[in-house]
Amino acid sequence: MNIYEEDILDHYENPSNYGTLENPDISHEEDNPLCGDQIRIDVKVADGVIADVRFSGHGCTISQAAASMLTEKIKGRPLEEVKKMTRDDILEMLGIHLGPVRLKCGLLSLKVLKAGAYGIKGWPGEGEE
Amino acid sequence: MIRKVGRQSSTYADVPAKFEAGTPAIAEAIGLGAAVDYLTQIGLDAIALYEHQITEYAHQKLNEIEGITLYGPAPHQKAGVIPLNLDKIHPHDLAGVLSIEGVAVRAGHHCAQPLMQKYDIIAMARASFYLYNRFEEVDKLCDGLLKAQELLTRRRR
Repeated sequence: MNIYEEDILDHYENPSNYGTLENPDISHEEDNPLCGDQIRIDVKVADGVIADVRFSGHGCTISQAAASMLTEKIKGRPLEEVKKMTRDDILEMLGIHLGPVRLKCGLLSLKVLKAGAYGIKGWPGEGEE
Repeated sequence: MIRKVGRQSSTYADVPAKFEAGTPAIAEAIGLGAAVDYLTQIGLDAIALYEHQITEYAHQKLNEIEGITLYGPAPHQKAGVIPLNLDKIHPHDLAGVLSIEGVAVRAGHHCAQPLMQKYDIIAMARASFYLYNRFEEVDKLCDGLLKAQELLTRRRR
């Protein structure tokens, strides 16, 4: 499957949950300095469940579409479950083959989400993804 | 190179000899010779001329695309290397679409991050042409760029 599938382009053009939240319980932002992709994710947690989520940022199709799809996927799910998501979950969600260069674009939003959810100190690190 | 080899141990020769073991780069030397013969036969002047012709042509065709920026000096002052950007499209996406269309370009900061800062951009796509490229391939590049534009700029915000 090529990386410009209609599904990916749809999320890029009309992203879900785009924006920011007031007083979020989790808010984290990171960029990918090599290609300039930037993602911020805000999360509201209620009773251990992700009650609301927004992302903002800019970058290539893959990074922005992945962020949009991720917000759809995690809304309403228990935070502890979401914290255990891996790169394979993202690749399966995207449903396309990513070469080594674009892999970082695809995984940026998960990295932001996990770094925010664990807090910088508690985050097990990129190797976990 | 080795000084002494036993069943369980070996002693290497002193530097630099210890690093100079193995088969010399015979195949590589023969290959280099063949390349020199090939280029000499065509003639370096002829190669430079062709490279400049195809670069001029590429500049002319690329400049017809709306929203394109070509970086670097005028075509007669540069080699067959054309860094470019299309308005509102990330260069990695350009490279991605072009790759599907069978056109290989490099995208990124090209190991020149301070230059990207000077232009106030994140990255560039970069097409390059040489002796083995045909003029039709310039057209193919342009078609691919238009396709990327069509695919990626029907968008939002």
